[in-house]
Amino acid sequence: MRAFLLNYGIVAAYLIVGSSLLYLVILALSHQKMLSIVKSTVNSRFRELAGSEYVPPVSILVPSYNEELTIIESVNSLMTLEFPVYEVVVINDGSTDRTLQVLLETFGLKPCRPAGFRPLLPSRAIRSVYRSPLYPRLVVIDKINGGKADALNAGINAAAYPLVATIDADSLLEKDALIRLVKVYMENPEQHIAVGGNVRIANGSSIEDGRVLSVRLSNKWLPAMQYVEYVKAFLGGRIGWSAMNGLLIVSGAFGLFRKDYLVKVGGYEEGCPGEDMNIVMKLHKYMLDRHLPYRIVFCPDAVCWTQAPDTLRVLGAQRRRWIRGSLWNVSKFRAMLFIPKYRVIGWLALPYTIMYEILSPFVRLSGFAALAGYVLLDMTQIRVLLMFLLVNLLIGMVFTCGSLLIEEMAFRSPIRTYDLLRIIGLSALMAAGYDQINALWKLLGQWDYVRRNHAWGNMVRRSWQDEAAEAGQARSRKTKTTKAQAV
Amino acid sequence: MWIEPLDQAASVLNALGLTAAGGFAALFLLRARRSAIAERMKMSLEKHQDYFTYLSANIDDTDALLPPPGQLSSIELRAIQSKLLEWIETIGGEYRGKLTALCRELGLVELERKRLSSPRQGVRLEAAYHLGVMRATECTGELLQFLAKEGRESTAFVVGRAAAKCAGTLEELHSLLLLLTEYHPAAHQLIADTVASSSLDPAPLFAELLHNENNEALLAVALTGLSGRNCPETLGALDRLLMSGLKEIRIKAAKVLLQHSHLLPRERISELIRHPDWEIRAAAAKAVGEQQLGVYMEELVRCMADEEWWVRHYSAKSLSQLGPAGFEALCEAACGAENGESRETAREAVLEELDRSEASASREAQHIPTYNQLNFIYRRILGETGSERLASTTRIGC
Repeated sequence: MRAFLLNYGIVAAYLIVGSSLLYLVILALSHQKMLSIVKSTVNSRFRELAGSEYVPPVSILVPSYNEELTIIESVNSLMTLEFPVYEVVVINDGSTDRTLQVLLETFGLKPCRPAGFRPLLPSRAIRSVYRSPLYPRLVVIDKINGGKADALNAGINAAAYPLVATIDADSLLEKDALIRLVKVYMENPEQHIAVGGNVRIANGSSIEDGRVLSVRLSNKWLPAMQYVEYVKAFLGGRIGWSAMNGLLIVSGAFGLFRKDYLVKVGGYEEGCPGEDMNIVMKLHKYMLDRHLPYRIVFCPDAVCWTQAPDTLRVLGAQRRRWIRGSLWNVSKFRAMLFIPKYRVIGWLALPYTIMYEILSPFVRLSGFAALAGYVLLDMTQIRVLLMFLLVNLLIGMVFTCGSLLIEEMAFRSPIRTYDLLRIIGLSALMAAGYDQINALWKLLGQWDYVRRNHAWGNMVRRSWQDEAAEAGQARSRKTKTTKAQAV
Repeated sequence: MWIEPLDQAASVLNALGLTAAGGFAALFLLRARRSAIAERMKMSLEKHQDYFTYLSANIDDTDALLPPPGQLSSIELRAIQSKLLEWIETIGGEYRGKLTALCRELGLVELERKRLSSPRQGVRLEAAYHLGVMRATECTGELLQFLAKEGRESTAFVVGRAAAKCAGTLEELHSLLLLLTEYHPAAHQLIADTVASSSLDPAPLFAELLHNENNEALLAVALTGLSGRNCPETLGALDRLLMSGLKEIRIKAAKVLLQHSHLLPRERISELIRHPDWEIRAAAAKAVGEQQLGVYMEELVRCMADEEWWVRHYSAKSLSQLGPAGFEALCEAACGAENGESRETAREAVLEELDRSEASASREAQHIPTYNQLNFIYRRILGETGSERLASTTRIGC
């Protein structure tokens, strides 16, 4: 029994190291393209392009369901983008709170005719359309609840322009985020059918009038750990996958799409728990089936700030939904696996997702449990368990380090040294607890999927002002403590 | 038995630990270096604050701006350069010329020119960018060579923009266009914008390309660059391009041609309204309304039965822009068109125009007669009262 537990634990450790090495090999193979993306980012200036008559207009779609606490800051941040011609289409998806009322009151919106509405994609009925002469760029659509995918389809039907950007209602855009995204599209408008932005955690940062003024790591553990996770996922992961045209997801929080292709693939799929992955998979399949040249790319310097859940319950619900979305899509597109015409998607990206999302939580948790059991049988062997944890920790540290280096070289990282040290510390701590909880959530998400439990989960929002006020108070408390210590 | 795997694990741990430690060491070194440079730059900027005051006070003078007195350290020179480049990027015309002349006198152009041959691509890109800001005409050739090496990479647009800013002749701009369209044939708008950042007027170059060129990408960039510009000497070439076998060229040519509708014979616009490409029909219908060409009202009414939504949409919109007569035609289409979709498009446009007119009338009394007239036409043809109109719901979808 002891030998079995030990051997199982060792195999699990090798599998973890092997999958990480595979990913590092993937990154190494695409490093040339990655470097090009980073160098172009460092040396591009957007002030001129942001005022150019040649920039194509964009419709920004903001699906909203019970977002009364964050929607105003979000729309404010969208109304002051540095971009020549755009419209902001807020889709109130039958909210049961005061989302619609706060929008109507704040922006002085009045009912109007739905000019230019085309039923290109199926969506639930629209009750009213609102506009305001004071904010000619803003359109608010009030529709019967049908879920995020349905709201996005309604937004596409109402969009006046050939490019659509999707953004979550709890997110804030940097002033130049949209022009950076569109510049990547303009480099090859025929082939760049979707461009994803870089999503970062804003908890703890100073926010004013819908803008992130200074970047700070949250004082709370969970948002701070998610900050590290997001940096790793976006800067370490997506640049690499983008370089080899293997991106399986353009985050729903911020992405740009060609409207004609969204319509051609039938739009967003109702009832799908991972609509952002689903639409990208549909685009890949559509283009590869027809042998059309295309790219789905990631733009690391187009930054969107989002609110991270700060309780285990809400975070768990979010992660379980994410894994259900991945499984739903992997199952739906399983026919693409190992078929030559699906290239990187069929041979690398989908198999890696299956390995990472479905097998990895089993391996991590069962490997840990096996070695824990082994140590319980013979406490003198505790170093075996410690080594397993150390392997996990160091792999996490290597990826954190790589992502932070990219951030430092390409974006002159705005984060303070104190926060950087905390990131490194948190990255170490994540291996001893957070990763295991994450793996457990993934398993529970898989169980939900098997039980066909597709509940969205309750995402508790906080207003950006509360978030900023709390971060400010925490900072002033800290300053006072430091002063007291100095005295 | 288990010692061996543990030894192996120790080697893996060592390798991982060394990688992570090396990476973090590099990260902190980079940060330390950056913050040290930033600190020295800040101090240099503070030290030369009086000089910057001198520059802003004397930029209006006829005399050339003088360099700062004394010997400058390399970090001081970089600090002054950063400030000058920041200013140059935000101003234009004569002031920009004076500042670029100062950069040249300070030796910054020569310095960046040397950096252009650095073995590190990042340094070369930064140098190219700086040379572009300083409008270093003498470096255009080197920048074009650099651009040729960048090929399909997105960094080509950084170098391309720098070369466009430095270009002193239309031939150089032409070379730039050839290079960019060779490697990025689909990036028409970005290339047109890049070329437009030049100090030269590219319109004559675009016009020449329309007359003499057959390359699709070059023609598309030229047509994109000419959109929104008044360039009547291109009319002949645009006529020829309307017959092009390439759909995108035909559409772009038609759109540029429609900018000069006042110079076109009546039959030509009628032909465009009836063109086999729906994009051209839609563009022509749109132009009729925007330029108030009431003479084409009948053609617009016919377009209301077009199978393409955009053509119907723009025809309806244009009819509503043609005053009471256009509005009457629109109401008749909303009432009597054979096709249900045409009726619906016309009805939407009618209601929208009435709403718009009503809003104008409630803001300014002078618009009340127009609203009353439109309302009278609406009630006469469609037989609906104002309250019925307002009660019509906006419910759309399933």
